[in-house]
Amino acid sequence: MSSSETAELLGYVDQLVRTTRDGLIQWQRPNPTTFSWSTQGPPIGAVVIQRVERRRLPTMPPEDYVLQVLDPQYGTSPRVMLEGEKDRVVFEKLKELYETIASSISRKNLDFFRSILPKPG
Amino acid sequence: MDPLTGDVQTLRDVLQILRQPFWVQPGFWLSTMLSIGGAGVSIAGLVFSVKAFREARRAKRAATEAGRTVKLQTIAIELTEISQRLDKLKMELMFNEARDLLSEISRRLRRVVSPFAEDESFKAAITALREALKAAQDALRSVQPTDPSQEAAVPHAVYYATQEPFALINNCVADLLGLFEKQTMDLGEHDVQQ
Repeated sequence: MSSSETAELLGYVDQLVRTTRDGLIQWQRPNPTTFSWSTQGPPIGAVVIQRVERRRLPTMPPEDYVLQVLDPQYGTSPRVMLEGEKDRVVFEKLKELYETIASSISRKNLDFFRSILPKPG
Repeated sequence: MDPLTGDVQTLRDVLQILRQPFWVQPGFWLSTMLSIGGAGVSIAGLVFSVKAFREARRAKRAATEAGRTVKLQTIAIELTEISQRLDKLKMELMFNEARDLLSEISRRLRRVVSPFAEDESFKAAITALREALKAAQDALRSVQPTDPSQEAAVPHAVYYATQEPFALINNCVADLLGLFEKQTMDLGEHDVQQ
């Protein structure tokens, strides 16, 4: 992937961060370290971001992030894939997205908890 | 003859015998030769006994080491099989498959290496292997589906989470394999030196 394509991709990731902060995306948590968002379409697609542990070298961050853009017409092969391992800028952007989603879901869960508590008389 | 004269004569004979040095008597030399011969036979017997004991001990050691070599080779074969299984990790790995694979290799590896856990030659490699197995269990737990029926919605998640821990296990297995093979070779050299 060329640097201009990477820059364009990072712009889209940045857009995902903003729309997540604005609460416009309903992220799901299919497992403890993965978030996914599926469009209701058309076009139908899905974005998946996953945090993975990395222990190869002590100089590397202990985790990495993998972003996949899926198209049902392509099966399980991602149409777009981005990993933070080789590029620090990509890593930081994916980490920002992941933490924004985690924070957004955590906020919604806390709001739900608060909503079911008995209201003080 | 006067009885007293007879006794005196007998005493004289006895004194005559006692005055002769004992070494001029053939009985002395006969008994000495027999004693020396007996001692020689005893020493020879002792030497042969020691030699027989040493040979028996060497044979026992060789048999034990041969048995150990066969055991190490069996372990090496098992480790190679496990390594080959880990090499074939596919991207479409599902959580249940990864869990079953990890359970199986974990059980087999622990069983194979546990007899050597306190052996200084293997200790570090076995500790590293156990840590790698623990890391793989942690990684697998991090992708346990919240809804198993929706697992396919996030393809490759299990692979991305577990590929590195499985690779680490495979590296540890390769290290152990090398150590076991080295031990087998050492036994051979040791035998030659003996």
